[in-house]
Amino acid sequence: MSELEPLEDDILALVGAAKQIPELTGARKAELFEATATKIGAPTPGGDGGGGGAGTGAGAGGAAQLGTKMTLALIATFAVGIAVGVLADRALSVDRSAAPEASSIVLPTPRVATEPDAGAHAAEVETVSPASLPDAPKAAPGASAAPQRAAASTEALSSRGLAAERALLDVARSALARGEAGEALAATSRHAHEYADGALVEEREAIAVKALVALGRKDEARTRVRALEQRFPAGLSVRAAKAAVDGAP
Amino acid sequence: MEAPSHDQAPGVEPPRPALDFREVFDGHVSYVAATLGRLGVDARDRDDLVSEVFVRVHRALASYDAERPMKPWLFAFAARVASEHRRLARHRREVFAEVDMASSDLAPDETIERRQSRQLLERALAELDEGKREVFVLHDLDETPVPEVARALGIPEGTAYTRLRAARAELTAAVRRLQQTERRTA
Repeated sequence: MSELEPLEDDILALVGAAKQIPELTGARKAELFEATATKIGAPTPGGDGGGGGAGTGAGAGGAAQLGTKMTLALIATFAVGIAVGVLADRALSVDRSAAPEASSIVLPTPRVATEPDAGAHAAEVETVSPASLPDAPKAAPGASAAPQRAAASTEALSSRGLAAERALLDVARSALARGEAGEALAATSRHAHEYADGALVEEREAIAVKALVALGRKDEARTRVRALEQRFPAGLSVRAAKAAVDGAP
Repeated sequence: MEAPSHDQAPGVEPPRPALDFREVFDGHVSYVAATLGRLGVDARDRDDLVSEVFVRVHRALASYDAERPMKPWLFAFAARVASEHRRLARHRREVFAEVDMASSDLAPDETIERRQSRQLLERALAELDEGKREVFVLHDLDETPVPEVARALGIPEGTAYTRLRAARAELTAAVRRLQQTERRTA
């Protein structure tokens, strides 16, 4: 069984309290960046992968320019690759550049795409970093051969998919229970993104409606209830969602 | 950012060039620092390891797949660095379960209550083994869906579920134990 027991309420509360990532101050970030830039600039014993040689400037100025330099270095490398006519080889070496210590780094390249839309989209939680990068929501296209996939039967996969769906909605539900409607809404959006036609759409929409009501976004809540009613005319959660909107001041 | 696409003319700057390292750093350094803490790296070593993580990230940036969420990707580096550090540190001292108070310097605006909760959780987390802790942190704290957790850590999805289940049970037991000890000493 891949059903997950939900955490007990008090543990959930602890987890909830620990979720928030404290944002470092600008000064701390600058200090850490400086230290990192110095390390990058220095020759590393493990060999230097892609663009490591770019960070020659170790001081404050060098640190500030590091990003640009690296970009330029990458472009330069790219141009050279073309000139030599080894584009395919270059693509390989890009992959390898990440693994000078292949045994010591878990390479987070896409290996297993277990579900058709196994959303590449997940952990960019709003509370954390406003500067987070655009996390493109598309599924990894044609993720390469997945040896591990063979292990699981279709049935097991779908029950796992369901468990994953449920886990995500559990996050939404418990956030709502804690009064963190914003977080609950974010979790439902992630669900909508990853399981647009999942098995728990009705449940998800009902939670989203309640979260919207809690956030005072009653008009949006009402629109979604209407859509929900059309899609699931006899849905149990629909009634609850409707009651939440109607009961709201 | 990763392998150049074939429709780009050689020598022409691509419309969206490689990820800017500084941007990645500024946007995610807080996350990486907090993750190292959650993975049991104590405060006095954290700055060093934050740097170490980003040195590796810098090296691997070209292979980052922009279609994928960035945090689980960064998490994998942090987990690896924390794990290597732990192995080294074990030779030096045996105090990994100790979560020192200096970690509070990471959260100046935290309420005392929240900080205590976080520290209790971190102490309980420190009792889990590495594999379970990683899955728990990435899923239950970072809210990364299990399939993405599995991908980031390079483990089968079934394994991720198994570890998560075990982690939740063990963590709950550890919290209960710590709470009891606290009550007795209070």
